[in-house]
Amino acid sequence: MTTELSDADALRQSLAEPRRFEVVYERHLTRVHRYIGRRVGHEHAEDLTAEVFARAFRGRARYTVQYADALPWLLGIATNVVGDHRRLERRSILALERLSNERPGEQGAIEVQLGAHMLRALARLRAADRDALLLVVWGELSYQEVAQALGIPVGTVRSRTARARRILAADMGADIDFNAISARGRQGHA
Amino acid sequence: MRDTKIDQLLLMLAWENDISDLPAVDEACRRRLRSEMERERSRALGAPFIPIRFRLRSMIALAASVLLAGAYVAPATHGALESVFKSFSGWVAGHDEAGPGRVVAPNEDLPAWVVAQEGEKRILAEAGGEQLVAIRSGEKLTLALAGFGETGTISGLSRSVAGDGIVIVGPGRFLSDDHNRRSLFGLTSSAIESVQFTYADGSPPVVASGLDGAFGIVIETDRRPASISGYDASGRRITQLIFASDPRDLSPGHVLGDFRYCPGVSDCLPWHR
Repeated sequence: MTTELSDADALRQSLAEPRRFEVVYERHLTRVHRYIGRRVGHEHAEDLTAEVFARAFRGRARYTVQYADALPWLLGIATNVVGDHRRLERRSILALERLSNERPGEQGAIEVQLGAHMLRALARLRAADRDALLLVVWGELSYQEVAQALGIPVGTVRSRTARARRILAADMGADIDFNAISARGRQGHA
Repeated sequence: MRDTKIDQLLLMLAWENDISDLPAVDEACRRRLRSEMERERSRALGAPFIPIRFRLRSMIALAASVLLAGAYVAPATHGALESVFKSFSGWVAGHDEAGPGRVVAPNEDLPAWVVAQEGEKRILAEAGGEQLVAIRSGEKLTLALAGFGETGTISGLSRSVAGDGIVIVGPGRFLSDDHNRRSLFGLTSSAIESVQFTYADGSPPVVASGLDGAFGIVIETDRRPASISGYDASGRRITQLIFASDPRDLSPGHVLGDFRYCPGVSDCLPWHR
């Protein structure tokens, strides 16, 4: 019977044996990359994902070993990396806007327009609120894990995500055909 | 349930960006991690390889590793060696006419972080498209390569390498993606007119001559380095450092010098030539 090495143990061991860091890397590459790709677009995700793991490797001595799972910590680093590259997020918005303008009558154009609208609304959120919400929705973390990722109390996470959702809902308002989105969402999950 | 709908729309947007080439990402990440591990390993070994960012820290520790390794000095010519920092002391004290190297040209292609540093800059050596730059700011002296810089006071630096004829400042960037060639920079005492870097396999050495207190050479990193020697104007060898790749091999007259890009990182593959 083998016992799987926890992230915390792997990180601690990696201080003496750096290659142990690969355990954490291999375990979380997909999730980190997916989160980064969602934030800045997949064409930039490769470089920024590499940056996340490089920063994590350099800073692993500061990892709080009380947390066995390193994913929230990694996504916290990823959020900081994205914060250093805000212009990439803005480019994603502009690209989507161009797409919606170029294909006004084509199939999928409504979704593209909705997407562009949502991204513009996201861009207007306070960065701290946006980060908390997107760690929940795009990072697929629990509130407790987001608190760990951002180093803030869980109550603050709840208030930030609630405020972000409230602002987005108000901003999107009547423009959203929620039924259509729900149908699309179910297809996406299938 | 509007919050849920917002989340659903956000997820719908996310799926637009979920298409990617994970193997390529994996390869890029592993390459980056290997680089990080190599840097860390080099630091742990005491080799002069420092992370790619400017750090305001004394160079003493780095120079001390050379000193502790015991740079070999031929006894008969010991007196011919002067501090490698002699040429800097007058410059740092404000005597510009005694400045080392050459002034920075107006269109000099220096790294942005070096340009951003306050102080007077001089180019000490060049190799492989990279420069070793000295930056004077008050009593502080910074030695900078493209990837890192080290700062100390001239008196502290001088004390730490007193009696040494050659001080390895550090390896520079790799010249290509195959990681076989990279620049190597160092300081030399004023008595040294040329240096010769040799390989253990006996392949042709790398020579830099006409030195004025510093050198820059391009070395092949997949060959085991053997030594670097300093020669005076008459061609007489007056100092030599023997490279060791394992700290356990260190003895007087040896200095750590493994400049490879190691895919295995923690257990670098054996030298193949």
